[in-house]
Amino acid sequence: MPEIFNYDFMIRAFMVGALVGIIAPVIGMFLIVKRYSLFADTLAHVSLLGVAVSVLAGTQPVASAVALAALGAIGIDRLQARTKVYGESVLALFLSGSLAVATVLFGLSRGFNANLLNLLFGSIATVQPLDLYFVAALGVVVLSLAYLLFKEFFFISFDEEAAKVSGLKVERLNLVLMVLAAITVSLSIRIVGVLLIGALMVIPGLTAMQFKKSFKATILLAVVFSLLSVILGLFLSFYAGLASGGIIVVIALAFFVLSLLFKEK
Amino acid sequence: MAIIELDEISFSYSGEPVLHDISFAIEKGAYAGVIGPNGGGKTTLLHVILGLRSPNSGSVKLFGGDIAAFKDWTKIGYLPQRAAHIDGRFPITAYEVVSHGRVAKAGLFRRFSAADHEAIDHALEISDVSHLVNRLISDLSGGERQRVFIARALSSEPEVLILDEPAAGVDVGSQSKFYGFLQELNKKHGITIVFVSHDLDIIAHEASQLICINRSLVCEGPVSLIFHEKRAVLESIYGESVRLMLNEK
Repeated sequence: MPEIFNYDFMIRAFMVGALVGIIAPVIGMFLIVKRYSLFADTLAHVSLLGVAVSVLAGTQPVASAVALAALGAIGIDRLQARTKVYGESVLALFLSGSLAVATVLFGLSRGFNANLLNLLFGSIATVQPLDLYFVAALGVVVLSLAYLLFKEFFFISFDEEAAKVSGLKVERLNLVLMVLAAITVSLSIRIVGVLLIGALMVIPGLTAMQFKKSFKATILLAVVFSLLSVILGLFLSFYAGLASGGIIVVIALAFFVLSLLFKEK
Repeated sequence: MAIIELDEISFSYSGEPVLHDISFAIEKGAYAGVIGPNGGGKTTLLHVILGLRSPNSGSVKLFGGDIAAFKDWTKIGYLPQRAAHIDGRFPITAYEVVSHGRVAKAGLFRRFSAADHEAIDHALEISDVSHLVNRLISDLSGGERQRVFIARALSSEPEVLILDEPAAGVDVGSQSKFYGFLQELNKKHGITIVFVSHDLDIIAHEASQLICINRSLVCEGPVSLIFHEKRAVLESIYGESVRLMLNEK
């Protein structure tokens, strides 16, 4: 057995990575086609706030991140629906707002600066056993709901008006999708980091779209590219001592560039 | 039986009146043309009928019941205006578009049944797009795309088909074929048709019932009758084009 699998934290990193590698591009694909790619980044910053709260309150970090991000998703949705603030301004508001509060909270808890870097860019060594259980449980929930509501999410992403006319509860479905995105983002923080999770949700989907396949085939391709990026990235992170989030996203980007070349042919 | 019944509908958008005191009924099996100048409130009227907007006053009845209690939305097939210019980057095949017509009917958390797939295949067939199923919607011509969207509307096996400016972005040759197809749906399959357009010429040739909207109801009735009796009214809205058309007839 290669050395990499002798470490418990690496096995945990691979398990969390595999789950995140599957969920992130699936939910990310819906965000791409809804022109909502930056939503993931916003929620990632809200999750960071969740982690900051957990440091002060002594709660489980992943659970706090999920809770805050889910509340953030609902807050963004309400604010966009009920006020006259531009949609993308609401995203900017939540992104910088939660980052600001998180910074203040981290400042209050001295000695946290090293950990902050891990949170921002991902670090495979930080996946705790409890994190793994959370990620596994919630990951299965997200994946099952995405599977069970796939045809509805697909329809509302393509043609919201027609979906509404056909009798679908579009607002409610949108909210569920946004909460699923929030959970996905929070679960990915340990591996990919706050600043790069948006990339893992979006780039594999963009790569897959270059192959001009059906929506279902495009999602499957996105999952393949994402999983390859995560697995290769974790190996490189371990053996070359690189930040896991950075190298995973660099590999995902490399696939994207290759797909552009493939398209040129 | 009236499939769609509007009673004294008024609607204003941020204080600006868009529809004023509109009443009419569309009977089962009719081919109704809703016509009016651009900005006359046609699309808003459709949105009120489809429940996308609530009127400030007045009532809408669908299939004899109040719209607030209406549940059978799959009885209504809808072809939105924007069908012709969809997002070309969206990776979606013709089959996937048509399958959306069955989503609401199949129900939450359920996969498509054999009956759903049968209805999709049937809709593809009568819309003459079976050969396009695996093509991406962005690779289709305007006319092909239009028929794919019609197939989506038909896959829920609707009793009424509502089309908002369906010919936009479609070449003339495909257009006349398309109008023939709508006639067939109306006559052979008994589907009630509500066709919204700013093109009086097309409505006059295709529809049997005419509903003219210009913020309020300008005239309503059988096409032949209106062209004889309300000529002056139509001329006041459409000017020269009415005179030319009447001379043609």
